[in-house]
Amino acid sequence: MVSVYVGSTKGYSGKNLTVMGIGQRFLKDGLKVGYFKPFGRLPVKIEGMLTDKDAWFIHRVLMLKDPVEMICPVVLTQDLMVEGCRTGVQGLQEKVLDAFESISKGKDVVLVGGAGTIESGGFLDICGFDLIEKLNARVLLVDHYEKEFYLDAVLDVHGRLGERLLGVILNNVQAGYVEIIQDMIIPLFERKGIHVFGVLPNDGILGSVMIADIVEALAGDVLCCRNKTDSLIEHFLIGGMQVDRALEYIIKTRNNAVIVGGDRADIHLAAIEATTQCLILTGNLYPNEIVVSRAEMRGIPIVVVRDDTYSVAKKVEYLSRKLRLREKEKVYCGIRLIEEKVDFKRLYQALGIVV
Amino acid sequence: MDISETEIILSMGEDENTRVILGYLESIEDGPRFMKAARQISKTKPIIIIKSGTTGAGAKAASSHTGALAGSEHAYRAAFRQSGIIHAESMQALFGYAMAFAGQPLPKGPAVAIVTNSGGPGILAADACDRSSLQLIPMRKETADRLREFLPSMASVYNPIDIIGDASDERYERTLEVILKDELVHAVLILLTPTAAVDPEAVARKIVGLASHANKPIMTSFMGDKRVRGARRILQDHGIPTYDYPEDAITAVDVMLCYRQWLEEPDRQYERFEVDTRKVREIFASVIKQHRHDLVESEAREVLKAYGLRLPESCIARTTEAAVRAASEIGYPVVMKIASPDVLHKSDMGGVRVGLETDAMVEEAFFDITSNIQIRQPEARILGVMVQEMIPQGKEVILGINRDIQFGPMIMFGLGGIYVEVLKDVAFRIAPLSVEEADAMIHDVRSFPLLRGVRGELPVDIGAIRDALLRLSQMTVDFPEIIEADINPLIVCPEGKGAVAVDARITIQE
Repeated sequence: MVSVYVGSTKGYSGKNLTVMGIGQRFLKDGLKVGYFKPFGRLPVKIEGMLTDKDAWFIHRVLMLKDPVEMICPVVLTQDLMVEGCRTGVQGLQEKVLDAFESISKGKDVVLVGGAGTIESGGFLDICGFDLIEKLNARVLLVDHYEKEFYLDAVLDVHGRLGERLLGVILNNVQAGYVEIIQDMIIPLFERKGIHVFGVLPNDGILGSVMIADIVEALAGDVLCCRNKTDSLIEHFLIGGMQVDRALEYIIKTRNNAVIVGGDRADIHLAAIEATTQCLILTGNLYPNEIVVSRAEMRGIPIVVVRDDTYSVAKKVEYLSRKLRLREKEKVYCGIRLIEEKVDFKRLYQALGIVV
Repeated sequence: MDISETEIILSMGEDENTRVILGYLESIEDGPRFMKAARQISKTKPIIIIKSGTTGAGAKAASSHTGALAGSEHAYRAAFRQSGIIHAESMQALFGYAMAFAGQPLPKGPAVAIVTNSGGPGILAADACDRSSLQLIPMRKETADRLREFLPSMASVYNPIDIIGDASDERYERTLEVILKDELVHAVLILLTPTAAVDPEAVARKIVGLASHANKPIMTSFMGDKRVRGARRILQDHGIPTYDYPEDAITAVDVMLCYRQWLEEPDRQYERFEVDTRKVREIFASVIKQHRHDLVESEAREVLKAYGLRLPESCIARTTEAAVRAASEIGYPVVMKIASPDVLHKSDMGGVRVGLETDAMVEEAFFDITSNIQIRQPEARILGVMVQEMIPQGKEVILGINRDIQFGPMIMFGLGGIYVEVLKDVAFRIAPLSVEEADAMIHDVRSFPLLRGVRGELPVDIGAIRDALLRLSQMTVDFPEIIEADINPLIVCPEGKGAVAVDARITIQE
């Protein structure tokens, strides 16, 4: 049995998606796969058992059968946070090891999902570095390429883990960077003995956000076309300019949502005519009836939010960085991307798995 | 040298030849000074103003015109009302009111008598009365009997008094003579539609003759064009207001009555409460020092407490165990809310649970609230969960402070939930509020009967709402740095039991 820890040097880098993509492929290749996430930060109760929301989702995507309580042995609840700081909590490492033991029984490979960064959980003595050692895991780092800071971070992890670091997957690489990565980054890593298993290009759908999630995160009020809130938004536009300019800009942009003050009826109507996917009206200002009825006719949801335009823009930016796992379309798009772009032959070789 | 609207009002106020002041306003330079001047002058002569740029589109046009920022419509309406200014909604209304005020005495009460030679216009006028603060009282028996002496049997001697289609100028005159003598009638509206039997000009002359010694307002509406033109000229030349349609005449009387009530209003009483301004100053200073604008809930609570508002007993619990302990100390049932400076819309984010009655419910709520926020707003800093006394049954109202760019602090009041959010049933006044103004704004909202109790409900403690409004008003005057605040909700208990501020938000600016 081998265990693979999927971690990253920064948060929101695509770990969950990588786990799902690799897991699916392993299953397809006939391996007995186990998955668990030692440390989760999104507490939920499933059938009365505490677990992590994302871990539970991945568990179901991979159609695994392990008991709920083993999927995520340590979940950061408010109580754990307080206790961890005030007095420290004993026995968390043991809890993780017990879960691992249970999950790994009868498996060919166990995927271990990292939390946040590889250092997360250090304040509870369960950071990635500690666990990798204890679980005797090999490590796959998934990160967005962000200039040389990223290189230093990966080399630092390599310095600490040595042979345990199998290599990296570069995620969300903009079209213009692919060449630089081939030309410069891969030679550097390969020279240091770090395999590059895949370069995943930036993908509009993966970076997109479901309208329903925008509504939830902004505590918005949906005025019409609630049934269309499962559409995905790839681009956000701020409707601050003159109407004629706005029109041009909206028509040119694929799957966009327009963020604009609730009192800009001119932009509202222009955006509706240019068939935006969604109108996000800021400042808790409600549009007039004409706007709502036009939007209704065209099937465009209008969401009224209390925040101002800048705060909304900041929040949606954050949303698009974080993959919301309940968006099936995104998940399957991501899994497909991994299947296509990750060099599984090399990965199997590095893991010593024969399929 | 620039002359502002305030100076114009003051000088017209002093001018003996000016009986009524009319104005067209786009913006106001100094709101409080304007209000002070208007309040003084409107006690001696009426000020009627049409304000443009009250809607969003109008404001845009107005700002580019005068280069000044146009205040919000609510602020203008409140400021006009509080300084006795009569607000004309249209140019037609502006001159219509002017005609009434310039030519006629003010009505002494709300009772209107309508005299008409045609049923339809009479009913329209009656409908308009019903929508106003005026009353269409039935003629008392003596008056009705006197009218019956000369009116044909088909005529109606009640109100509207329909002297029917064959009425001549003499019938108009005799009818008017009787009605003007009735002291229970405070204003008379005379309607005329051209018929074969009537000579409009003769009727006009009869009205002019009677009006000179009537001590109540007489309004007219002669409908038709060419045939009544001469008659209308006669009326106008003698200061008798004449309108195209009866509704406009009724509105003018209504406005005159409101103005009379303004004149009769006693001097305002301002109440000053003993409060802890030092405490508030300290809190604000520390918020500003941290370069914040929004007060966290605990700070907002302290501020309201310092101003004597009652708040529910509460305590922040960092852990489940502490929450259970706090709940049993406060006593069940309790409410729990997320305590985080980053979560502004707590219930929208799943950060509020109410009606918790057992330890187990508190434990569950603690988990749900903290997890919801962690999942929906992972960047939010969580201080813990606020465990709060559950306020007994009452009505939810909302109190707010807003700072208008031209008039300064504005106080808002409305009933909570759909009444404010959907129906926008709110009242605004510019601070400082007098006791009477606070009372008036509570009565102003359409949903007021719900506070007084419907279907056998007990009335709520309206005095406690007034008290809270006055305390907020004092706070906004004491602390101009407050740019926005709301108490949402203030739970008002049955009469005599007070009111409790459950949730509050305060935003300040240096």
